[in-house]
Amino acid sequence: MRRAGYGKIGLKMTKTTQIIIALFVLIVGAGGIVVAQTAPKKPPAGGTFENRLAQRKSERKVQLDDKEQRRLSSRCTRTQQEVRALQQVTSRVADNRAAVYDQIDGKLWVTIGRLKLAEVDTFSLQRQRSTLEQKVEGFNTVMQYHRQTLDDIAVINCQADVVGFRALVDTARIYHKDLRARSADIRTYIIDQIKQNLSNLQDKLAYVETLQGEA
Amino acid sequence: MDDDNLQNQQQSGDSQAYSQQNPSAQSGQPVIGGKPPKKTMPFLIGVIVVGVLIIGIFLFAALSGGDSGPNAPDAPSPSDPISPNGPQPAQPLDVEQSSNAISEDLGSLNDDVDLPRDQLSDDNLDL
Repeated sequence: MRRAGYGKIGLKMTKTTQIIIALFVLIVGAGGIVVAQTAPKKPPAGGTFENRLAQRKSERKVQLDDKEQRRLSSRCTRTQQEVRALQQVTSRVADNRAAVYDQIDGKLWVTIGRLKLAEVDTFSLQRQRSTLEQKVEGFNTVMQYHRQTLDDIAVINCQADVVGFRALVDTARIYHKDLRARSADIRTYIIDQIKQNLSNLQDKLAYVETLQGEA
Repeated sequence: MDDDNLQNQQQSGDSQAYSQQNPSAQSGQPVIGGKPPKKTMPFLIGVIVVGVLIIGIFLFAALSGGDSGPNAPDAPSPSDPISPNGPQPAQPLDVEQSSNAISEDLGSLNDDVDLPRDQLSDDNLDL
C-alpha cells in the first residue's frame, strides 16, 4: 500500500515535474523565438558599413558551431551572387510599388477634391488617405532598409566574417517578412476601408441627386 | 582706234586705282566712266528674302505652335476627371470609376510575384 501510495505520488510528481519542465521549455523557447524575430532597429543615418554590420551582429546574436561556420564559409560567395541578382529585382519592385501607391494617392486626392465641390463630407476619406499615406511610408522605409541590407550582404567579406554574414541574411529575412506583412496590410486597408467608404459616399451622392431631382 | 583704246585703258586703270583707294567704290557705288558691279543687288535681295523667311518662321512658330509646345499642358482625355473648366463636382459614377481605378492599380501588385515567400530561403540563396 505504502509502496503503491509512494508509487502513485511518485508518478504524480513525475507528471507534475514533466509539465513544469515542458512549460519552462515552452516559455524559454518562445522567448528565444521572440528574441530571434525581434525587428531590426533603424540603422544610423549616414552610418558606415562597419556600423551597420556591428549593429546587426549585436541584434541577431548569431552563434554558429564549427560545422555550420565551415558550411557557410564554403557557400556564402554563391549566396552573394544570388543576392546581387536579387538586388536588381528588388530595386524594380520598390520603384513600381512606390509609383502605384502614388497613383492611388493621387486618385484619392482628386476624388476628395471633387467630393468637396459636391459639398459632401470628406473627413473620413481624408483621414483614411492620411492613414494610407503613413502605411505606405512605413513600407517604403522598410523597403529602403531591406535594400541596404541586401547591399551589405553583397559586399561583406563573408568568408572572413561568417557570423556577420549570417546576421545580415537573418536581418534581410526579417525585413522581407515585414514587407510582405505591410503590403498585405495596405491591400486590406484599401479594400476593406477606403473602397468601402467610397461606396458609401457614392450611395450618398446618388441619394442627394435623387432628392434634387424630386425637388 | 588706237587713241580710243589707249584712252579706255587709261580710264580703267584709273578706276582700278580709285577703287583700291576708296572702299565705297567696291560696294556698289556707280563709278563714273567704269563698269557698275553686277553682284551687289542679288546679294542684297537674298539677304532680305532670308530675313523675311526667318521672321516668318518665328511668327509661325509663335502663333501656331504656342498651344502645342513642349510646355503646354496635355489635352484632357475623355476619362480625365478635370475638365477644361477645372474640376467638377463629383457624380456617383465618378466615385465608382475612381474606386475601380484604384482596384486596377492595386490589382497590378502581386506579393507572390514581387516578394515571394521563399525569396530568401536557404534553397534560393544557395546556402
